[in-house]
Amino acid sequence: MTNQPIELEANSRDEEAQPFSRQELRGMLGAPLRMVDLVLGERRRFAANVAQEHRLPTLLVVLTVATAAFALPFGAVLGPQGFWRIAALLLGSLAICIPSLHVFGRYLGIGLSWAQTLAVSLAAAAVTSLFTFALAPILGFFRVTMSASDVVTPQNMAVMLLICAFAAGIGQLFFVALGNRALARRIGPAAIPVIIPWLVLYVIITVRLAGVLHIGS
Amino acid sequence: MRRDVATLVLASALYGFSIGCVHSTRFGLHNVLKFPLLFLITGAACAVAYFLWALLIGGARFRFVDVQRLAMRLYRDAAVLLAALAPANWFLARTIVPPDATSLQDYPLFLGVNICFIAVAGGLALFRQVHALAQYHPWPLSRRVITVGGWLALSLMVGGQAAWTLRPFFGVRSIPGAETRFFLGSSPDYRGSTNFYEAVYNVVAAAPLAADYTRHGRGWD
Repeated sequence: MTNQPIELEANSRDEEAQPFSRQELRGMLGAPLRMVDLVLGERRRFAANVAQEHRLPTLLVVLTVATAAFALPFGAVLGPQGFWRIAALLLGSLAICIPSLHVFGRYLGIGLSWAQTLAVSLAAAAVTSLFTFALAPILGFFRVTMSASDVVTPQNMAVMLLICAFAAGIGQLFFVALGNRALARRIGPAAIPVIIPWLVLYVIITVRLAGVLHIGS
Repeated sequence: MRRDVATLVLASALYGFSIGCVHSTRFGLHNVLKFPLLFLITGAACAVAYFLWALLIGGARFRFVDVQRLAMRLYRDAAVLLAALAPANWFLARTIVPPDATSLQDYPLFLGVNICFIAVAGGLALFRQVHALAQYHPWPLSRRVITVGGWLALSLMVGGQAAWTLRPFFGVRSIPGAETRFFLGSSPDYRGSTNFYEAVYNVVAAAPLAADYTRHGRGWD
């Protein structure tokens, strides 16, 4: 039972994080799995893009594509005809709630532009989407092995897994907004008073939209 | 990684054999195949989620294969610790008072002892991997605990249902082995539960056993 050392590629705290270039971002559209680096593996570089407003339009396109694409497998496992529903849930709830985040944020002193606010919140949605992608095989396994039961059904489990994915996305929102010094400085002390109430609204809207899209019913 | 998988398969097969012997050698031999399968199915279903969880919590640039190796070592350690308990477990399995038509006798005690064994082995393996992560990456303790704890929670969530599908691992001895299916899948158990989570619910809010409960749980009803 020996544990041989595994060499992991760590982010050096001493190095200045370089923002993603347009070429790198466009490359991600061709190789979707590299988007994992963008939203999770290279958080400091992502934050540098947002803080410096570097290539934000391209970044927004990549994040939107990532959010839509990675949500499709979970939707397909839920029901092949409604494969688009999880992607619609993620992007729809964000579209409905983003004006409130930006306007209230500006009013309370958060110094982010529309594009920056959208990039930060889309990063959270992209992480939720990535987690639904990771949890899709688990949901598939539940659907195959669980027969109809009055107490716990695969639909219940799908809802529970979706909640886990949303929790991961919300965690990412805090990591990005508060974990990076440059970005945290721009956001300022109003971050928590704005983000927490906004999350309450976001959860309410997401639950309602899930009902409208017949997810989990 | 191959060596880790081979160790995991051998160790889990040994422990599986020891628990199956509470019913019969036939069930023990079934478990030689089923117990490693339980670990492998759980690991495969959770692979991508392990990776994303490590990235989310750690924020480091892990390679997919590194995360799989670390998670596999968690399983391997637990399986090796359980294999070390296999002789004691086998002895208990062959000497408990077997269930009969009126009572489960010592069978619940055997189940309870094994739950303790699994909890202790899992806990120690978890502790060791939290410690081992420090050698690979300079994370604070809290992040290492959350990372490995998240892997464990995912494994329990999927592993519980995988175990339900692959059951019986133990098997009440009053059930004839030749009449019991190799995998019971989603067939109802003696309380009528059809999946792991429903079974947990039925344990918490236990309904009284039916008078003919020993006739159920063979996979044919």
